[in-house]
Amino acid sequence: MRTRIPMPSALLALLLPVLAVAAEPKPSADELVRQVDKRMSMQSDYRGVVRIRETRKDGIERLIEMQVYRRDSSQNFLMVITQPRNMAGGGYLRIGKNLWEYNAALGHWERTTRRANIVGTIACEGDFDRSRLAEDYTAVDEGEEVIQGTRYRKVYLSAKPDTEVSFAHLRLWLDPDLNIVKRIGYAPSGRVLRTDLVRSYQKLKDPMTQQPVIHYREVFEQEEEEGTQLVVRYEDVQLAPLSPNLFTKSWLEGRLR
Amino acid sequence: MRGLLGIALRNLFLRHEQGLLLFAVIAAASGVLVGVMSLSAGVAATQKDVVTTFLSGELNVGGFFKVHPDSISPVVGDAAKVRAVVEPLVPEGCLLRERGRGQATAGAGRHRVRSYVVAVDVEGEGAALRRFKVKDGALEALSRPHTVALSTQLAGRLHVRLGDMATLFTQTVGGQRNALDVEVVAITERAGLLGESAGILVSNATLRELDGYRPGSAGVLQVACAGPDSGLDVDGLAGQFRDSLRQAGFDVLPPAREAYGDKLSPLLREGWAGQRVDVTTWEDESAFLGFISAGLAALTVLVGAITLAVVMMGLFVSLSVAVRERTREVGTLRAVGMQRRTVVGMFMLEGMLLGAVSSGLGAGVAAGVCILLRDAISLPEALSGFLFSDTLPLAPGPGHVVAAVILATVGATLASIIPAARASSLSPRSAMESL
Repeated sequence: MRTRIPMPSALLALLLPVLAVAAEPKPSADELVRQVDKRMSMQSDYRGVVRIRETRKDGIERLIEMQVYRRDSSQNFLMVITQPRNMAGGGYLRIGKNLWEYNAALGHWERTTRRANIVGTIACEGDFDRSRLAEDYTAVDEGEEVIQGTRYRKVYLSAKPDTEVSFAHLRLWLDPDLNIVKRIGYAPSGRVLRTDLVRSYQKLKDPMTQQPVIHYREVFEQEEEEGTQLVVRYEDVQLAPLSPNLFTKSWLEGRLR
Repeated sequence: MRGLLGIALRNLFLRHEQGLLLFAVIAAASGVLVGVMSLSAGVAATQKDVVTTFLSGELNVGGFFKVHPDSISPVVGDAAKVRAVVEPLVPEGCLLRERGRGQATAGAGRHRVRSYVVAVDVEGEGAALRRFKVKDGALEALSRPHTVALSTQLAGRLHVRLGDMATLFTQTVGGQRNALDVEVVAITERAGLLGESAGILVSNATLRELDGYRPGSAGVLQVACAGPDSGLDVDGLAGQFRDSLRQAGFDVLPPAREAYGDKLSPLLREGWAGQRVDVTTWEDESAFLGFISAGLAALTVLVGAITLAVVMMGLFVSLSVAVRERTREVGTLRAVGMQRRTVVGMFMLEGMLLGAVSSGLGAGVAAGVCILLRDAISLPEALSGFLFSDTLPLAPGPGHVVAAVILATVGATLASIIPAARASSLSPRSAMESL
């Protein structure tokens, strides 16, 4: 025997999940940023190869390859340049809050800051470091923007006082999965410094937490002022323990020898 | 004499077409000479003003510190001891200000520019900071830590604006390389070549942090006097400072006409280590800019020589023609008893009169025009760098007018000697024969 469900009840049953979603408060901008950081954070040590293709406005192209090592638990960071050959052996080392640049040709260590660009490109050290948007910035929700049928959350970030960041202000476009798809970096005066488009992500599994981690695969970066473009590819990423002696000046100096 | 003056004036008015042309040429040449001298004086005054604002006091007590023979820093480690020695010698009306100095590379994004750093004592200098011409922002904000004021040229090359961040890279006193992020709180007006070469202004505290200097150190103690023309005998006072510092046990460098930046490399090659004190005048510190004043002095001499040549050639030709045309007049004057010497005097007086009146008028008008045009003509960027000003720096003075008039008058008088001698050599008989 078929039981007939009354029409109003059926409608209510259909609308309930929709209403529940609608009633659920949208996460705040700060919460969004925290979630972005969480999705991209790794407990394990990180190693990967970054390949950069730089195209200047006059058409000159440059290819740069670097090996990146990170230990997010202690904020240590090491970057070794392997290409081009004239810069090979040089790199960047960060221990805690101190960042040094190593010039292999001269054998010189030079203290630098996170704001300074690296390897003479428009990229910064922060591009290759762990995501720490929630630590460094305060976020303001700028609502949603629909682009080609997809809703993107726009968030405007301003650097907290006394934080060392590459961009004083950032505007992010986040897709429904909270992936950053577009990012514009501004100077404190409001001038646009760089526009990034994240072309693709890669999914990794953190062996320490057994949780999935999202990491960039390819990012397109464009400097507004001079029209220089970078295509940054993150390849051969491995999440595995690194040698405890890696994050030292002597390790980088020793590589050349 | 009055008779001769009358004859000379009558002749000038009689041959007014020729006379007017000559008058205009001498007046114009004198005017140009006054213009060049005004420019030279204006540039010299602007240069001193800019140098004593940015680089130097009237007198400087700085020094060089070498941790080991292979490194050098332009710093006085124990500034309080040096201050105690020199402070009693500072003349009345002048003050002893503490400045820092060094070199740094300023970076923003991919752009990097190397320049000299000038560190100021924001609280101590107070109103004196207003001598820096600020285009945007306020120099008082330098009292905040990690702030910088950049010159217009440097801000342009780094593509930064007020409120933006830049990074300063430098070598510390021990030879390590350091970096510091700084906020741009002011942008200074163009200050000629110094805007490019000494375009980074920070506070003394920021420079100490950047260069790794200990508290109590100072780059230089500068004797700053009110007004650009204080009339101070800086060389004499520098000698007193050196003697007092030597007596107090300091190792004092001998005087040298060189800026501190030019002394770094030669001193680095020397094998000593420790502290040496250096006393310099503002002229020593601006020695690297000497080519500008030398160039303008050469230009003034050249224009003066051309003026003299124009006056002498013009008058020589004009009076030679006049002598030929006035043979009958000369013969008549000689026949009625005028002496040869009086004839010479008559022609020379004519030349002198023309030279004095025309150059006086030309120089006077040129001085007036210079006053009107002072700071009114904008200069192209390339030229403003050498002249230390965005506008044409003209400083006409009575001395320039007097010098131009004397030069033109002496030239005119000298040029009339030969034609006058020729006229006086005519015998009354030959002159009468031309009738």
